Amino acid sequence: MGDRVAIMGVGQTDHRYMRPDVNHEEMIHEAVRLALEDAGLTIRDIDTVIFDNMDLFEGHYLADAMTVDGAGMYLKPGLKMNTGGTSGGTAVATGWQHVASGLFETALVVGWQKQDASPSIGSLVTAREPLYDRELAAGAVGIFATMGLQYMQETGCREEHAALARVIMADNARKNPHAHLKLEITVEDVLASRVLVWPVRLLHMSPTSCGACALVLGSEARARKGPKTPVWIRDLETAHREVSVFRGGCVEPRPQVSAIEVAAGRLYRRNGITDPAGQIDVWELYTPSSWALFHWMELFGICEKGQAWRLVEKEAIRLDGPIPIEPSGGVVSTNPIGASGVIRVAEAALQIRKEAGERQVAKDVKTAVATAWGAGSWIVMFYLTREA
Amino acid sequence: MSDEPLEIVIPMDLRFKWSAGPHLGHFLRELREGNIVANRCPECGRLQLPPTPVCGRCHVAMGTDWVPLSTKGTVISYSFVVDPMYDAGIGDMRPVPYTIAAIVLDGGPDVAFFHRLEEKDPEKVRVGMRVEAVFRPPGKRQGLMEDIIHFRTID
Repeated sequence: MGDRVAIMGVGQTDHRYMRPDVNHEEMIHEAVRLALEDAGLTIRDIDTVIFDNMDLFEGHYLADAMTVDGAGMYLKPGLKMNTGGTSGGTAVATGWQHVASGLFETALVVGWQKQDASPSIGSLVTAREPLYDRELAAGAVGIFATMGLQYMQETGCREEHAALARVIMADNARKNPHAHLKLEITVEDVLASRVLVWPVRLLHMSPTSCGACALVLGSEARARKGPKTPVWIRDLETAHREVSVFRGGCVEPRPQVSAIEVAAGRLYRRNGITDPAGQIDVWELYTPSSWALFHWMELFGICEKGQAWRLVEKEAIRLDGPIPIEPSGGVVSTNPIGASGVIRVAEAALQIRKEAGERQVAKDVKTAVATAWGAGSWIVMFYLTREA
Repeated sequence: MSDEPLEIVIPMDLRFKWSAGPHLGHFLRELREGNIVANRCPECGRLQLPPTPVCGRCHVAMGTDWVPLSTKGTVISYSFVVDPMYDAGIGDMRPVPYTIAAIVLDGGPDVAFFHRLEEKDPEKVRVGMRVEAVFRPPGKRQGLMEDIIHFRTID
């Protein structure tokens, strides 16, 4: 499994719809500086920088080349990750691998997106195989619409339950000073918001955000000397599902193969996790639409198939509930895409450190799962612990 | 130094050319003739729609065991696109509303085919409804997915 790796430092911007006050590099630099300060290090202490964003979402390629100074990458060894929605997760995984291998003692992971630069949906709709399924692509919204519809058809779930999930995430986001959308909304408000692709309504979808998030990862020896409680990345797992084109995606005929179930199964087996809901204290899942939450809860083994909506109905996923999910407000509240996967890990680490402020969950957090999900049903998941 | 944020707008107009390759190319040529074909994995026997060079589950070459599917099928899921969405093919907003559906074609139980339904009334679309592909007239087909206009409701 490699050497032990800890999260030493966490930094993120206040994520917003627009950041006309800064350019890309200046925005990235805010998060990098905060993460280094948190780790008690300077950029000279960083051995390698792993950088990620979704290319073209700012309307240009080579985003790394234009932001190298702000990211602290200048003349450092490093890599750029660009794997769609999972980019942030892939970057953290790559940083972990660099340190776990023993080749580097410290790694700075920087994820960001500045979506006020261009209509990023214009890039996203090109993420479909151009000859076979681009004609029908309705962006990410269409995927969550088919998910939501299928879930309602197969369980007792109604639109009200997805709306309640969204309200709970909004309630959490209002406690998170970094969150983009801090909406004061009710179930009725969600149900009254306009339909994008039925049953997905505007309030069910993640916003387009500007923001950056940085992590400092360190070897055990370095992490134990840092000023903050080390949060250990105990294990991680990834799986990419076979969909070079959209073969019906989440509604393909059964049996479906889910990358999430495959990845979670491998990670749980290696770590003796037989009761995920009981053994994981907090979840920062990458849930781009409140309609995805039910599927995610079931695929990650938080509950039996067809039961997630009942847990949401009982509000078990709230900060003071038995299974807190998305205490930060989640991706539906804040989605600077390249940063979103890094933010999930950062927020889970803050929960373990008990530094999550008003959004700290009621449970004593010793373990957390953070994930990133994206195109092709690609999943990256992290198992974080307080004990080494 | 002014505190006023300076933002510059730059429109772009780009052209792209795609190679279909032998497997999807065969599928699109058949589509131009009014046929929908899948290919079959020599290992697990699963059909692939659209046809692919490799079976993702068995990791073997799919070959050219072509299986014609019916142009009739059953809806297994659907949705209504209400909000305008960028069409990457034209770089502009696509007209709404329209209905999308996952359809299992007769003879193709392993695969779903995604296309539009003619029916736009949410009250009339349901899982299990029977539909049939409506092709453009033979001279108007180009080997594109749009050679099928939509699927119409039958019986």
